[in-house]
Amino acid sequence: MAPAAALADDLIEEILLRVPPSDPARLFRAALVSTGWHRVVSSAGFRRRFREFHRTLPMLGILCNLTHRSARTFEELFSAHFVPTSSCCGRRFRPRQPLADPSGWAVLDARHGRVLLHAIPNEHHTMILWDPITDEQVELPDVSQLGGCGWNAAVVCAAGGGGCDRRDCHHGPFNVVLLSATWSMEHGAKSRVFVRVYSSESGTWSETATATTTRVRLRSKETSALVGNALYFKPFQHTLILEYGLTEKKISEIHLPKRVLSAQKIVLTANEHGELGFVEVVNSRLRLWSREVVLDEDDSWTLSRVIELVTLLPVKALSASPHVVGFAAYGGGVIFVSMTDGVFSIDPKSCQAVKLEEFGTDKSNSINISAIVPYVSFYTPVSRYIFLYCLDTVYNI
Amino acid sequence: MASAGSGDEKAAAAAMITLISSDNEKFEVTEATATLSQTIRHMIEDGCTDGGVPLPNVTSKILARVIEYCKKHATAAAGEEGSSSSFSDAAFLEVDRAFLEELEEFDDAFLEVDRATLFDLILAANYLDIKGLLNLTCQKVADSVKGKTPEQIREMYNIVNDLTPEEEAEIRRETQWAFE
Repeated sequence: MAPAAALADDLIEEILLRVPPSDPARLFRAALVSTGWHRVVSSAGFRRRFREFHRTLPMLGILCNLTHRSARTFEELFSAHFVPTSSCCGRRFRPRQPLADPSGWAVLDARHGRVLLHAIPNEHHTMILWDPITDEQVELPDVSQLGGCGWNAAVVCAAGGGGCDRRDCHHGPFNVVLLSATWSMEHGAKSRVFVRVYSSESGTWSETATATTTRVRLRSKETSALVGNALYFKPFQHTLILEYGLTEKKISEIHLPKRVLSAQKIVLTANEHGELGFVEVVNSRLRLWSREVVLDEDDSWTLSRVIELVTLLPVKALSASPHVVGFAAYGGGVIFVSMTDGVFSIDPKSCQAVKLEEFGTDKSNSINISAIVPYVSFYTPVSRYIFLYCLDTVYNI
Repeated sequence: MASAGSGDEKAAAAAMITLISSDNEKFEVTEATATLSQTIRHMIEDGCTDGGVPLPNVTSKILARVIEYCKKHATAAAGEEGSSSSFSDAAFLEVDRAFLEELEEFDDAFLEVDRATLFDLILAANYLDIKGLLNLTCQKVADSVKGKTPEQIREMYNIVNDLTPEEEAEIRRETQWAFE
């Protein structure tokens, strides 16, 4: 074969831009072809153009918390896993620095390319941010004195919700927002809710808000939702949602519609119109609710959709009551439902259900999947080795 | 002036342009075919196509292929425009679908070339600024490296590895997961 004409950087870029975002490994292997390919694919300009070219964020994998009933240690009992749905590698989370007391781990949240986990038992409130693809980890400083009525936390990029286009914040600064609740006799029927925010830029926690609310109990198992510039947390066994405005740093209460039938088992959602919503399962039906931000009243909720699972899933999958275990703000939104037969992802738009084969079926029922958090992000190479080319340039001059 | 001077001349579909390859071969093409290239469109607009358009970066072998692509796509574009007024919506959609399928088949067959030719087509599409052809050829290369190791990619496209062993080891360490 005659030698192929050498391509200038802009043409290598044109080629690599067309690699599908669901196959990040292809870009990382391309980075090793030559200095030209490496320079192109690791540049900030390529990252920006790649995101503009593809627009829709790919789902690279799913994070899940597994409970092994036959385990003897905490480490074996609670484990957090990254299950790839793309060309990334699956792995189980293991801390870089083993803790003094061996513990299990659970995923709290994943957003903007980062995964937030906490140790179980969590006496010291140890939390770690994890990049499941490169296995990089950042341990957050311990939080002292959390309230006795539970806590929950979420990770967002420092630009917040409204200021972030989720396209190139993967390596930038981030915040972790932690809510904790206390109750004492003097509060009567009320709770005190405290918000603390960890900033990666300052490396410290600071208290940003407190509020007196209806008596609530917070639980880290309830995944939060980011809608616009506010985070939403669902307290345990309650018919309200707590809203934390990232800009105004204020907590408010949002009541669920009175017609909601199973407030204990709902998963918060965000739709493409920037509206908060939730999904509940009632008698093998998925009920999708959404909330218009016109009036902060109960009647601002609309039952926007009812999906009959019977029409989507094999009958044997529905032999026991299904659970909604997660939601991905990916494409038009995807709902994850756990059933006796395994875990299914359900796309309300196309009304299609896909079994997540990655999870298999554990006949002995000794493994329980307690939460599913999607990992939705663009992933392109960023090299620390880029400086070599800068040196080259200097020498060439 | 051969071209954009008057509306009447433009309307005459027979307006022909001569393209001259790097090895001095002449190709007569219609203006509709030639103007799929933004580079040539600008030259026509500027009125500098008298005596032919020299394309010193494109060989006759590659130019013949590029013209083949432009002819097909220019016809398809003209066909779509013409059909919209004379068919009902359903019939139009049907014709539209048939056109697209035919074009897709043409594109697939068009890409059945050796890899050196594919790179030359990318260079020509870029120089002549033909968006559709650039997209088609670049997508073909992007698809072809699916599941391939860096060594295989270099071999496929005859690319010289100019990374030092130290650089290669360092990048490989950073991106280990992609090779697991």
